[in-house]
Amino acid sequence: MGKDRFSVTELIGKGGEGEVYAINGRPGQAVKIYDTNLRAKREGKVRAMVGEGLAVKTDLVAYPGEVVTDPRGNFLGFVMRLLSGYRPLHELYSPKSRQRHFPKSDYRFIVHAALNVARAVGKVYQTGCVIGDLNHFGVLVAQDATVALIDADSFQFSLNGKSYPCVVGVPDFTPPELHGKNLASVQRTIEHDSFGLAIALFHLLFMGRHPYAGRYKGPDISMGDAIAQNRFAFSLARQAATQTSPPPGALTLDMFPDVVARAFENAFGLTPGARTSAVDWIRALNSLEGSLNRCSKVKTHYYPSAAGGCVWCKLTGNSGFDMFPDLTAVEPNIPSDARGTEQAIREILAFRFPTVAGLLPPAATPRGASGALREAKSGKRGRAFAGLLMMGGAVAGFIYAAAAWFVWVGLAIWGWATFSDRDVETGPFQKAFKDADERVQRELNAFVQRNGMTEVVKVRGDLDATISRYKGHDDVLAREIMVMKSNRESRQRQAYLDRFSIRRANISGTGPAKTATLISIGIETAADVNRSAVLPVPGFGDVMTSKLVAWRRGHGSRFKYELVKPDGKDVSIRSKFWTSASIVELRVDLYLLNWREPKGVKLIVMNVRAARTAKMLNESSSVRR
Amino acid sequence: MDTFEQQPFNDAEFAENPEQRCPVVLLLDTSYSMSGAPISELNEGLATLRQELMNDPMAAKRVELAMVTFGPVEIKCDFATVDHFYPETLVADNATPMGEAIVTGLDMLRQRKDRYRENGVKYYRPWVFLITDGAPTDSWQEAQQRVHQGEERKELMFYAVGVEQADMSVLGQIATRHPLKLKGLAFKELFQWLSSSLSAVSQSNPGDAVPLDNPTAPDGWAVAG
Repeated sequence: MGKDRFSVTELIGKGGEGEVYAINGRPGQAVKIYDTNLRAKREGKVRAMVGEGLAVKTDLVAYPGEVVTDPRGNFLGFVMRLLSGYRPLHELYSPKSRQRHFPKSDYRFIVHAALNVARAVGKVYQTGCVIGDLNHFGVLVAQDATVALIDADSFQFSLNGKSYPCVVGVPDFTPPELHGKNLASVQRTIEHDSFGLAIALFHLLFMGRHPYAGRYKGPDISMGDAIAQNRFAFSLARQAATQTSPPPGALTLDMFPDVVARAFENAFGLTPGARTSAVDWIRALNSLEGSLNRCSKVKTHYYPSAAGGCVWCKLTGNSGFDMFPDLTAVEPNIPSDARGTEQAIREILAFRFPTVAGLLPPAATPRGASGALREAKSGKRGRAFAGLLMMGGAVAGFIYAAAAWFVWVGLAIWGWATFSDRDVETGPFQKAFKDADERVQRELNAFVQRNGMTEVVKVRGDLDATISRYKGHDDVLAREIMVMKSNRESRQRQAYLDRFSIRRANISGTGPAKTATLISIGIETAADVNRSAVLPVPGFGDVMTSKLVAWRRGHGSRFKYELVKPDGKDVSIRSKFWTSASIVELRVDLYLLNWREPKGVKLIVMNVRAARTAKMLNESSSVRR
Repeated sequence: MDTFEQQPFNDAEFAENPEQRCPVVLLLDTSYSMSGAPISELNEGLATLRQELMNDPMAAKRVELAMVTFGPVEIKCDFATVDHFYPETLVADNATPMGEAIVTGLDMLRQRKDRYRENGVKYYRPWVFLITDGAPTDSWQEAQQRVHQGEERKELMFYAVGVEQADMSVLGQIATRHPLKLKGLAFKELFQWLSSSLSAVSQSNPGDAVPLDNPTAPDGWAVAG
């Protein structure tokens, strides 16, 4: 433990207890250094956790893996797994953040993430810990819906009869019986955790709603009070007692399978001992995952079959906000198609490419069998007739000159053989056809090449591929629009900041090498600079990052937001599509995107190029980062 | 709660984002005396406030800003989370109807709380932030009474900030908290402080005493008025 010497590189995060750094030469690991005044308090617990080898038992939890000391052996903190590519749980459960950070996730993804939350919590119990402070910052989700837990050094843990408590907690996630208690002196139990787990799962399944935030008949009370008073807003079993109803526009418990509804009633009921455990949650959520239906109208809507109909369509109808919009349903017909891409595609599709058959002069098609075949067939008919005659002769001879019977029998056999042999021999004919066919193909190929038909067929194939690729961009575009729609001002600001290249920034300390590093990971202009993007870049510490952020802020402060005045085109689009507000928004946004946003313009230009020249195909896919 | 109870057409903003809210009312003096450097510093400060709040994903979902300018009293922005808060460039002219502005702000707050309630959304104790460089030119007794009442019932927190030659004694009478005097034109620092305080509050628990940086510290934006 701690025998290796290592140096830290970059500050990754700063919390209430200390700072977290990346480690030189050890990717995938980070070190947490406690604030000076906390080191003595934390040392025993961290050493015990490391000694137990908790970090080896699971990689879902960032347990302390090694003790870190200064060269003299004084305790500083610990090494743990560095979790990259994960986002805090609240960025998934809040619909607004989800559409930005998990744009492709539908309800299946959310149920799956919920299952993984229950699994991760169950894993903690396997290692012999209690979480204690389970909250929306300590649970992280990846883009594949897998879950990891951080802040593991705060978990309650006991070893050899000594208990290391969890001294913190977030009231929104704290069970009723602990409200008003001093958390530092309370022994935490799995039952306490089960309450926090159910709160996290509820947030996920109910689109960011807190189970205790509802419409209460009494005066406004805080979340902590609502929990302490057991006012589970969504309860069906205890509604008379809670005096609280679910907020409007929220899902309700009766939309879920009984096993899930019961699990929530128990988790937020009056008996701590009856709370749904992580294992029970896995069972309940598995049954929910297995009973999701797909909406017949919007293909991105998956809903619990127990609801009896698409709950997302119902909510959209109630509030005008679609929880899981189908981004591929964006109208392909873009009104601001100023560069005519869509028009070009329509023309390409409408254009009837000449076919080979169309180019060839109409040929006389021979009817019936050919002369040679007829001749062969009539020849055969003659032989059959002769055979019949011979057999007839043989019969007559037998009757009139039986003594010479062997002559007649021989004649009859010869006659039968001659009569039977009526089949035309096919070999020569097949060979002739094959030769002719080959000749025709050769002629055709030569003809096609002379007329450039190979070229035409190839171009057509390439165009089809390009068009389908272009249509694929609609998806990307729609997502961009979604993000941009949410924020017109920041779009203008981004565009403004995009004008200031990092190459010309002249920030002391950022030489050409550092600038090149930034550019290599896509930080090219002031618009790309922000703390979380720059800080993890090798060679950019806190100080350098602050300088860059200050540089960006300097440019940002000179930016002036201009209200977008509707012009003739805007107005005509609006009146034309008056009936559907969302489509109007989309169209106007596309129009703006086309004309005012350099990034949008890049995208469109790129697509036009792709559609017009098949050669650009490969470049267009690599241009977009 | 029965089936026949009225169900309002619910607000998409609370469906999209059901996080608890921390409402903040900015009452900004745009009287003639603010023209020149003060108003332009104020404009930049607002831009800073927005930017810094945007950088905190949780605060961006929880903090809601509303803006009232005086004079004349005008609601520039109604409550909206920071991603929908677009401060327009303020222009200074006219008188200082501070009393009317405070009453307007408190009325907006009352309506907003009703909206939260209808939509079953929890909220933190609201902040009202007054910035002025003068003295009220209208009657401010009703404003004073409502601010005092709100503070007593713990319905809001009212902060008054005086700029340059502001009448600190009147501010002291309107507010129950000690008014703060802006150090020079340190609007930017003021709004940075406001943003980081709101970030801290929006991650705390309603009712908790959140330790805020002391604005009158040597590197702070205010001097003890």
